[in-house]
Amino acid sequence: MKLLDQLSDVTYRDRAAEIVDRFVDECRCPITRSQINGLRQIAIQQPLRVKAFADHQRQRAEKKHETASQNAKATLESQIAFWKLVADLCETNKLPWSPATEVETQMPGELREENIPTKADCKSNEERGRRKQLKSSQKQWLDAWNNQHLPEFFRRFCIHYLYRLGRQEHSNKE
Amino acid sequence: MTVLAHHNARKVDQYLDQHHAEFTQLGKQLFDAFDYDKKKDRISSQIRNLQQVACSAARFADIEDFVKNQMGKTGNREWKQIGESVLQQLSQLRTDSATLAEDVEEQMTVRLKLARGWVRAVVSEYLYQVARSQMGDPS
Repeated sequence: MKLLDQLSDVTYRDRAAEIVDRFVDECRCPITRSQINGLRQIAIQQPLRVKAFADHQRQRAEKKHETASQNAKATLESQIAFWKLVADLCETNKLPWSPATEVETQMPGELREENIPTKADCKSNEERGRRKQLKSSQKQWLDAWNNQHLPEFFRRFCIHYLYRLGRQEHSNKE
Repeated sequence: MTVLAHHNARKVDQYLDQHHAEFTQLGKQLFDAFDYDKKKDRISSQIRNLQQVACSAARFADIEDFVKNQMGKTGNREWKQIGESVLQQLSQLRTDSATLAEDVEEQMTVRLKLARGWVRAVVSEYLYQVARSQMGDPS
């Protein structure tokens, strides 16, 4: 819990703000509050489904984009970029930092991919059994990590996005 | 929350004393922004919520997120007006917590202690302004 507290209070807060700020500064049309709230809800209720949800939202926007008017295209392009960013945040190697890359630094040594023997390396039943057990422990550890950490990261991410949206609206009024 | 070493607890108290004037200034700004419910003679629920969150948060970022969340809602003119000043003071507390404790875990506790001292000072000033207004003090 201490590690989660520390990561949530500093790393996730800072990284979420950086990532959102960069996206908002570059994107032409803001993402709507309902989409951000949808992401927040999924991240809290079903953190393991965030990537699938983001992919689905992106595909929907891409489909609409094919037949959209010129005006609507810009909004849809922002949506496509946003959902791609969310999906990338759930994967390793897509971004310089993501909650998924954080996993790699925190995972116990024996569960890391490079330390689990490949199928070809397992000659005996005993070795195959050990591999299966390690794979299952790795999955359990990953699921537990994602269940705890993804909601924390995406909560900070969504709130910072809403804050930027509010600021933008306020400055447009002035 | 980790128990703070005695010398760090003293540093926190000293820090809060040294910055009291800045906090009361923010309390006045909060009163200007939120005022109080004159019909029901009640303080603003937003101030109560801020105090509640600052006193019960397990992480300092949760307090920042409360303010950001309020600023991010549609409407909420008062928070949009004052929120940035609140976030700036919170950000200052966050930065300064690193100078008050070396250990990362202690820094988390220091941040929360600072936030609780900060909200006490800010809300006290707000309540003082409410009382003055109720007494009909025009200044």
